[in-house]
Amino acid sequence: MPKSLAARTALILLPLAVVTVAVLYVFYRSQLEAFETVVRADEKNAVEIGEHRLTAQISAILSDLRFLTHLQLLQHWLDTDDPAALDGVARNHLAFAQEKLVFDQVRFIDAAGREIVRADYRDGKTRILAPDELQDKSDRPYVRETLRLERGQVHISPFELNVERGAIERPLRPTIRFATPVFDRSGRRRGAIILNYNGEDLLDRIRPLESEHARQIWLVNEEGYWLHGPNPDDLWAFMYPDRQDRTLACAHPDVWRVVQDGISNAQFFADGDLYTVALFRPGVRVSTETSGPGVASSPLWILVSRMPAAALAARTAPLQRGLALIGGVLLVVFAAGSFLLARHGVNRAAAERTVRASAEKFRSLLESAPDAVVIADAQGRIALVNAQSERLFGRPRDKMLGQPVEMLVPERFRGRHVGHRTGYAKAPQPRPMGAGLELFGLRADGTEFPVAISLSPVETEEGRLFVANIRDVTEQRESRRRVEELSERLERDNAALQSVNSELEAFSYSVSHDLRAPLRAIDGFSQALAEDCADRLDEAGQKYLRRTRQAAQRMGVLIDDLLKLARITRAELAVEDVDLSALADDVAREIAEGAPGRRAAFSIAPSLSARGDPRLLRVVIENLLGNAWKFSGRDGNGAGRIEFGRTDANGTSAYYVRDDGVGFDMAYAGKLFGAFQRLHDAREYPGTGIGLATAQRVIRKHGGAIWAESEVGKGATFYFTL
Amino acid sequence: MAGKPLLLVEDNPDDEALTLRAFKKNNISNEVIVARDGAEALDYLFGSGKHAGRDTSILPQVILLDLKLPKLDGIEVLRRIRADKRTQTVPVVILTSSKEEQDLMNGYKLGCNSYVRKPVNFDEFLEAARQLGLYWLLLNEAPPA
Repeated sequence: MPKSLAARTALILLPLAVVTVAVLYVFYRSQLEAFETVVRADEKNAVEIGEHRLTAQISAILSDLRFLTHLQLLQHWLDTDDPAALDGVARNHLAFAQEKLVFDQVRFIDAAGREIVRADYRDGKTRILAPDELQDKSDRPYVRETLRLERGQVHISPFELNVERGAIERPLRPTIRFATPVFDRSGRRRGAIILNYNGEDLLDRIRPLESEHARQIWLVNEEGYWLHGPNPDDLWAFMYPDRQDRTLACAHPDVWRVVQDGISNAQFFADGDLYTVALFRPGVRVSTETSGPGVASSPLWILVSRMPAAALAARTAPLQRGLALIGGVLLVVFAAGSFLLARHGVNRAAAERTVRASAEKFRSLLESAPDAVVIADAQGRIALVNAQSERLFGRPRDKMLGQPVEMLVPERFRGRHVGHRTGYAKAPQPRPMGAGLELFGLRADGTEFPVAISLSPVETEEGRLFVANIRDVTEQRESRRRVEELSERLERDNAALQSVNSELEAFSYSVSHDLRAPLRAIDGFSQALAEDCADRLDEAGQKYLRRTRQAAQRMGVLIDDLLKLARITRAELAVEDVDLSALADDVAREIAEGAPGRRAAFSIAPSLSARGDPRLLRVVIENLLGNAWKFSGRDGNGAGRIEFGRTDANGTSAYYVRDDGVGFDMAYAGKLFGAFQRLHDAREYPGTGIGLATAQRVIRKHGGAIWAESEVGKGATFYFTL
Repeated sequence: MAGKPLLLVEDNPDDEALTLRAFKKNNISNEVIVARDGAEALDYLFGSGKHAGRDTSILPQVILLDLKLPKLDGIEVLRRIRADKRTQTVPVVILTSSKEEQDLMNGYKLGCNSYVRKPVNFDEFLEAARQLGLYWLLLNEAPPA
């Protein structure tokens, strides 16, 4: 079953396409994995950087705090209560704030919680607050907390919005308070240094991380409220009574769950987004690095980087597009290649089929050939034979192949055959072998048989081959011999016939000439006798002489008729179109003219024509009409009506001549057409009895038939066909 | 009218006698030379053989030639007559026994002048002879010799 071009193309293309897609997919997957690894690392890195930046800043602030605690002027003022020293402390704080630019307030409060020194930094300006501006902060949690701490311990407040006089400061002022107690030389707790750190500075340190790849950086406090994040309304929600539910737990439970698990570093996908989470307490590491008591309380912060699925997809899109493009191009190329291959395949398959078919055709042609076909190579070795060859030579195929063709030739011809074969190979052209010679083949059993051979060369890929069509002509020879024999005999017979014919000719001649001569003499001398010796003859003698003459004359008529019959028998037909009606008219007129006064009517059908010899057909018409005339219209027998026409008789179209005369007895119908047969008295109806015999011969010569129907006294009808 | 003879070439003495009788009965009084075969007829015409020395300038008024003759048959005799300048114009009436012979003669196209069929019935022969005489001996002027 030959495959169609489309099927072949698909057969080649499909595996290629599958492999291509698979390879590209694997490649894509590995690229994605690599990408994910890179992204994960990037995110981890970003989060680490963020954490590091936050802790480093916190660490810097802690050392700043320690610096202020250990300020000599402060210790001096504590020891001495010197107002000048306090002024110095204030100026120090001012300078500090001016230098750092991140501290909104740098304060010293006493052990009772009252502000003693305070330098404020706002909108690029620093100032030392006047004594009347100083407030009592003893009720503030961070103050009470700090005043309970041991030496060296630091309190870090939660990250929150600054509240001034009971209201959230506008614009929002994120703040972290760093506080540590201050002790005098005697070890008495005398108050605390408090730094109001501008949280924006801290947040500025992590903001740059966001610019990369649409990454979001969240900073979330321990309770799950956003300190930094993409949605402004979510920020600092814990500060607003109406936004208490805006927590990470509510918005991103998956992420929150991980936070709850307490894993300090985690990375995971949730809803396609990549989250990298770090949990840390910003002051704690610092304190462990430094000696002495560390940070007493530090808030827990959650730093999250979120890489949205869309951003990831956007980053992998070029890869997908590239791979799709490559895949598309490859598929197109493969499709084209497959098509070409398939077409080549189809063509080759078709060519193979053609070759196979033609080989098959050749083989079946060879086998169906009526003749034995023997194909020999240029060396005269048998290359191919058909089944007919096997039968003809009585040898199986394998006993002939590869053998010299001379094995099929009677021994006495073999030498010459090699010579002929070599000669033919030099000037090959299709022709019968051994023109004019009787050729013989040799069977395996040694018998010979006559053959006719035609030779033709064929050019093949294996070189020139010679095809011999061999036919057993035993039968032809035999039948030719028989034909020759027969024609020889025919010739002999013909010659004999010819001589018989010429004898007959001579006989007729002699009959007409020699037999008539004595009759003439009898008649003539009887007349002479009657005339010359009339006086010596009596009445009886005269009568005898008359009868002698009558007999002689009658014999003359008989001879004439007989000759006529013979002549008709021998005559060659000169067939042409004959107008039978005209012929009959003519004959009827002659008959009527020959006997004027006879009352008889001819009724001749018009336009009757036939093919035949007009001279002979005239004889028939003459006889039939003559007979009808003769046997009718006499002695009151009918009205003498004679018809000639055509009718349908016995299923064929026949001509007829009908009279209403005496008729005849059908019992004698068989004798009607015999020569010299008469059914009527010769005296009453004169005639030689040869007319109907003659008519019959003419009709038979035309391949027709003649017959008659009659009843005595009721006329007769003669039918004839042509 | 009289003077020139008739040449009757006829081998059958009965026919000869009856022919002569027919002539006589029709009052044809010309001399009738009878040749019994073809050779003799030619001898007469060309003055050879038995008729050697004959004055061949005297040619028959008409030759009545039977076809079936011993030695030379009638056709051959006619051929010779027609082939010779001297006898070329002599009228020849062929005496035939049958219609068939007449057809045969036509086939040769030898140029005979007339046919008379010798009928069995002598009355008919008499009639033919009478017409023959009237025609060839009375009406038909023979060409000058």
